Amino acid sequence: MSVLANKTLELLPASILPRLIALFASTTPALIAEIQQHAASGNLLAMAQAAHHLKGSCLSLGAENMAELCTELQHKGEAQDKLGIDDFIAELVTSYPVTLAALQQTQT
Amino acid sequence: MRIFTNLRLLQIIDTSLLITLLAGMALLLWSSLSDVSAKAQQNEQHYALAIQEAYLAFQKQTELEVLIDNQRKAYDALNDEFFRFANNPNSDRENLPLIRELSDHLKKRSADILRAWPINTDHHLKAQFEELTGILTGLIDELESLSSAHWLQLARDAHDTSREAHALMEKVTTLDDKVGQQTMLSIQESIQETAANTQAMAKRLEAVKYKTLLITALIIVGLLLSRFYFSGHFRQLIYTAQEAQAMAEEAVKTKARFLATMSHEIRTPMNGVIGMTRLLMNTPMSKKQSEFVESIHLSGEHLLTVINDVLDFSKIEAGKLDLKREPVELRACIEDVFNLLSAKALEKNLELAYAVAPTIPLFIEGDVARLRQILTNLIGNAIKFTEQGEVSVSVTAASQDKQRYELEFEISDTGYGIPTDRIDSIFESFSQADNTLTRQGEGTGLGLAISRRLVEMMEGRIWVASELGVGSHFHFTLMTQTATGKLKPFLYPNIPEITGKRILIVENNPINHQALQNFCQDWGAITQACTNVSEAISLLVSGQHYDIGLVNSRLPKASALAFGRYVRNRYNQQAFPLILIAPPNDPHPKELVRELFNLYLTKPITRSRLFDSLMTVLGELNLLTARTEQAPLKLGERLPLSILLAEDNPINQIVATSILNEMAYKAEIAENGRQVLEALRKQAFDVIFMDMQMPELDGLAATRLIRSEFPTDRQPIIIAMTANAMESDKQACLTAGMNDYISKPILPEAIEAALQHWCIPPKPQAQPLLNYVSLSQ
Repeated sequence: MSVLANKTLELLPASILPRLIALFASTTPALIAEIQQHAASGNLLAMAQAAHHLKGSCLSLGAENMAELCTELQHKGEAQDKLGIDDFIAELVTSYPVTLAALQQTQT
Repeated sequence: MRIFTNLRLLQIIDTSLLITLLAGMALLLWSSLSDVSAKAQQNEQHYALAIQEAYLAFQKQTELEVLIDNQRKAYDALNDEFFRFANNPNSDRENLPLIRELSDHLKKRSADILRAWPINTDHHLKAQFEELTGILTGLIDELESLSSAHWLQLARDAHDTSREAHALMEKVTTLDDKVGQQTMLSIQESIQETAANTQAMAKRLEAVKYKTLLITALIIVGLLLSRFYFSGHFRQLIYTAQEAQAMAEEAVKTKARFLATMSHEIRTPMNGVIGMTRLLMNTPMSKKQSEFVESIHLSGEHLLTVINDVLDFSKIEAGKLDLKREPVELRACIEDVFNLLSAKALEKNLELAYAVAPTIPLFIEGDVARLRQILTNLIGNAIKFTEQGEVSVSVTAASQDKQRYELEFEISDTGYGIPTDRIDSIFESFSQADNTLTRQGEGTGLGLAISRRLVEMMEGRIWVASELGVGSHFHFTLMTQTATGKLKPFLYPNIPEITGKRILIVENNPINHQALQNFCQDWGAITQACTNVSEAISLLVSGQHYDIGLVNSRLPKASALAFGRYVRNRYNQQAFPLILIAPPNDPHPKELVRELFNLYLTKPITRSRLFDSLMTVLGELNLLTARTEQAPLKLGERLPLSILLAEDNPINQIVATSILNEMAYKAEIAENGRQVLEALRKQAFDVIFMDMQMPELDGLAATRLIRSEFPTDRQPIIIAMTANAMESDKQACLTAGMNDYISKPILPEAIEAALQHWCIPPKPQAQPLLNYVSLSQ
């Protein structure tokens, strides 16, 4: 599972990538915060929805690792399974800057 | 200790200490050895003196011995003679002279002995000797005065005295022996003293040796201590230096990071602008709109270049800028810059013209972005500081060696000029010729500095000649060589449609004049150039025939129109097409121009525009454009569809719409199921791309509502777009009434395949899902 699947990016029109990356940078922290908040308050279904939303963004940009983490969180949330959620969230938090950097790197 | 942080001071202290120690050692050695040497000298003198004395004493003793021996012999002879005289009855006076002779001899000998008598000896003995000698020598006198009867007695006495004297001589011999012994003793003493002195000297040398050893050991210890001490400080200094270096490196890295971040932060939105413009360029637009968009696009790219270049300035400063070596279309490069700057030039009614010497190849090796940057800067400045007149660029080959060229660019203007005192500093950073002008043109002041550095990197130089009120001439050179690149149609020489055509050029601006001739001749045309209308008319009068006429609109006294009328009185527009080269704000009445001229060629004159104009009038433009634009029709052009995109994620909205736009579809956007229903009530859609999870009303619920609420003829194809790739999700979609299913990430191929599958031929029945939906799995 790579941080970034460049193939996905290559298939997108190059002109929209800067905007997509900027959007990714501006929306993701809020989504992660939402996931954390719902996980903390125990609203696992809401957490699953937020994770799903983030997954959509990640998939579009080829952010495979983050997308995988979101999928796990979504499934766990939907199954009301608290086990290991914190670890996934922690990994998601650390994965985000790496992914963003990798995305920005493609534009330089 | 603070003072030891200075490396130089440390070195000085260390060296001084070393010198002091060595000097101390040398001084001690010197004094010790001087002492020993003085003692040795003294000993030697003493020894020599003793030997000398011994020798003298020995000589004296030898002499004394001889004298004593002689004396004794004299005594014996006198004694014998006395004895013989006394005992010989025949002795008479005749024997006396012999005795007297012997007696005199004795006297003489005695005097000799007395002369050589050792000093400091027995005075008594000497007196006794003198007395005895006196008696003996006196005896002859007595003998001569006595009668022979008494001679015997006297001789006996004399004999006795003589024997006494002889005995005395024994004593004297003893004395002599004593002198000899003394001499020996003295020699022995001297030898002993010398030996003692030598021993003392040896001891002293030994002491010096030990002292030296001790001092050397002390020095070594001292040196070791000092080295140890100083090396500690050296280490500390080195450590400090390393720390400083690390900090400096870190600072450089931080700066680089900052620049990288900055460049990224600025570039990202700029890329957005340019990217969107590019998308816009692909949409159907009017010609005017296309021009505007092209201008936005060019400006955007230029702005991006500028941003990059400002950031690059630090790169150049740090020596980190690399020039590319790629084929550069020199003429197109200049034309690009003209296109970019033409709006500004037109505002001031400035002529923009360029001419590249025909010997310069179409493609040269270089960095097009950097060359464009230099040209943009210089030409931009020229336009900025020129209120009327013209800005021209000429490129010549200053020198040529086979494939290598030294190109000289000259950018001339008819502007204010640069004051002499500013010329030297004009290429420095943050410098502009006149600060009052700076306000007029919003420059950073970096442009010329960057240009200078870039030119220097291209192995060239840049300089300016200027006259106040007349204008400036910026020159720069660069080293390059012929390159091969892909030619645009108008860059090919000898275009078949143009080859052999006779073109009349009426142009009074010498640079444009030259450029028009060069361009036309490159394409194979035969040109005849005149600088005024009367010249051109006289050519026509002389019976010359031309295929095309190129006429500058700004010929003096509005004579361009006069020439047009003259031509049209004789030829129609097909027989002798005329092209009016004019700025967009050409003052001539448009209708009149259209009557006389076939078309306008908008300034600035560039190869591409001139080419297009010529091809148009030659009626062959369509042919050529058909040749170059044979792109297949986009799906949206072949299969027009109304599409609704239901997606709440902005990223996915952009992705999906841009992909659809590329296919020439324009999608409406709904953010949730409720909006989908609202949109569908307003108008029918052929296709809905539906996200499954949306706020308020999700995709599945919305689909169920659509399928149940809307009549059959308004039922759209509904294609799910979701990040859930599970089989159960697919089933849920189909069960809810969706036609198909696309997994995220959304990819152009998947959308195109889905649209083609469901929309050609019109609206088939729901079919099993196909493979194309599972690209991400």
